[in-house]
Amino acid sequence: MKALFPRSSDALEAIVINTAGGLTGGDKVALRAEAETGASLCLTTQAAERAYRAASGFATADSVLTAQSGAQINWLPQELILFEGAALRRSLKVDLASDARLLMVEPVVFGRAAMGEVLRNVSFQDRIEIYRNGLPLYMDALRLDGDLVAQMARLAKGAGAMASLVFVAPEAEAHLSAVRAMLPETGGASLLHPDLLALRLVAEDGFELRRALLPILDRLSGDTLPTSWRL
Amino acid sequence: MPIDGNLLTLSQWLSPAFPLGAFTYSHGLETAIEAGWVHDAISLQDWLEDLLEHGSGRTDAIWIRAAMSDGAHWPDLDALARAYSPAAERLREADKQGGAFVKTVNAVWFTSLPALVLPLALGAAAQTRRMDADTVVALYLNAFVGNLVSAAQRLMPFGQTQAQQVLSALTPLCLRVTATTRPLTPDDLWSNAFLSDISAMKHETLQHRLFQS
Repeated sequence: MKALFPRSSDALEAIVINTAGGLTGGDKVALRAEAETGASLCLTTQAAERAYRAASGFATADSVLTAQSGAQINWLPQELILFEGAALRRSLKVDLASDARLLMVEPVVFGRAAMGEVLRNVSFQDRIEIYRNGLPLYMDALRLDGDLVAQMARLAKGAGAMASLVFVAPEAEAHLSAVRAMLPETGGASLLHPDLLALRLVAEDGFELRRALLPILDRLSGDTLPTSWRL
Repeated sequence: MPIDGNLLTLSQWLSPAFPLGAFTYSHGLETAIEAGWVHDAISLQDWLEDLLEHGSGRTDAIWIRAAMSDGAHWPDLDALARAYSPAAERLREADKQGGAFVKTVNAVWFTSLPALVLPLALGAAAQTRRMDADTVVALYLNAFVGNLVSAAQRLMPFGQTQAQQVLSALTPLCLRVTATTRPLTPDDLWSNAFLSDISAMKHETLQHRLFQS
């Protein structure tokens, strides 16, 4: 992996590039980033991450983010695309100081529908852990094994893509009704704490997912979305 | 089938008559029916099977077992369980029912349980009486889907015999989830009931609501 640091705005932006071009069995990817007191950091990826067929074993991708007092982290990777036979265990751990801010999204696409890809044998585990002052603030985990087409038909009305978004900021509540108005029927948003907005969305495919997410991310990031996110 | 005092106490705790207000919560089902995602006996049974196997049923079973394990620290588990709540109403449902459960159990059985979310409160109370964890989990899952089948009867055209048929069809799955969660701890938590979570979120803005969740 390597990172580019474009000089585009006041905040530090890092574009993470997986030079291997994708993840497969046995790969281990780890990322650690920290925003020190009062700093702003935006992390994204240059392209969608691809989890390819694993001949044996599984790939792991573990990221740890830390935001110190008054700092802000925007974790805005592009989609993770799961291919047939993919075996991936992924985790994201975020440690926030009491007044740190966070905007994070994790979009996942279950095969590229336009290419006729169908996922019948996939193993995908994903975990998000957000702590504030060392205490659990928001936890989420999913585990999809086997025939994803059959499972998503039941669990998500046949959706081919999904995303989870978390926004931690004092003004979170003020965005709730506007964010809800931007969501399609298959998306929901809720205020879990006065300063924590959580959102979950399933969509027909990666394109529809991105189309729904873009205006929401523009709003919550204050129009500082990395250019790689544009449709 | 062996009968002892604990089994009668457990069935008292999990009876719809126990004052938790369970009948006021639909766990997002009201939204799913409004959206047409659940509309008849078959789609209701699918919805409840997914909840049991991939969603709150499995998750609650793990929390009950965690609260009943040796050396369990209930307040830490409670903080973690709250952080796993995907939606505000889901949290309120677990919090209010857990609070009502603890209040009644403390008053009637002279315990001094702290306020906990419902599955932890039940597990904690069961632990004080050394109940059998499998029995607690199986009866809880049965009560959980039983409450949602009753909710569905108030929300869509759905006869009482059909309702009992759906509930009866879910019995083997309640037993299977009881068995599969036996060795699991909160480290094994996950939930794939995506539409259920989204329904819980959308319920907050549903017009003409009969239920609190």
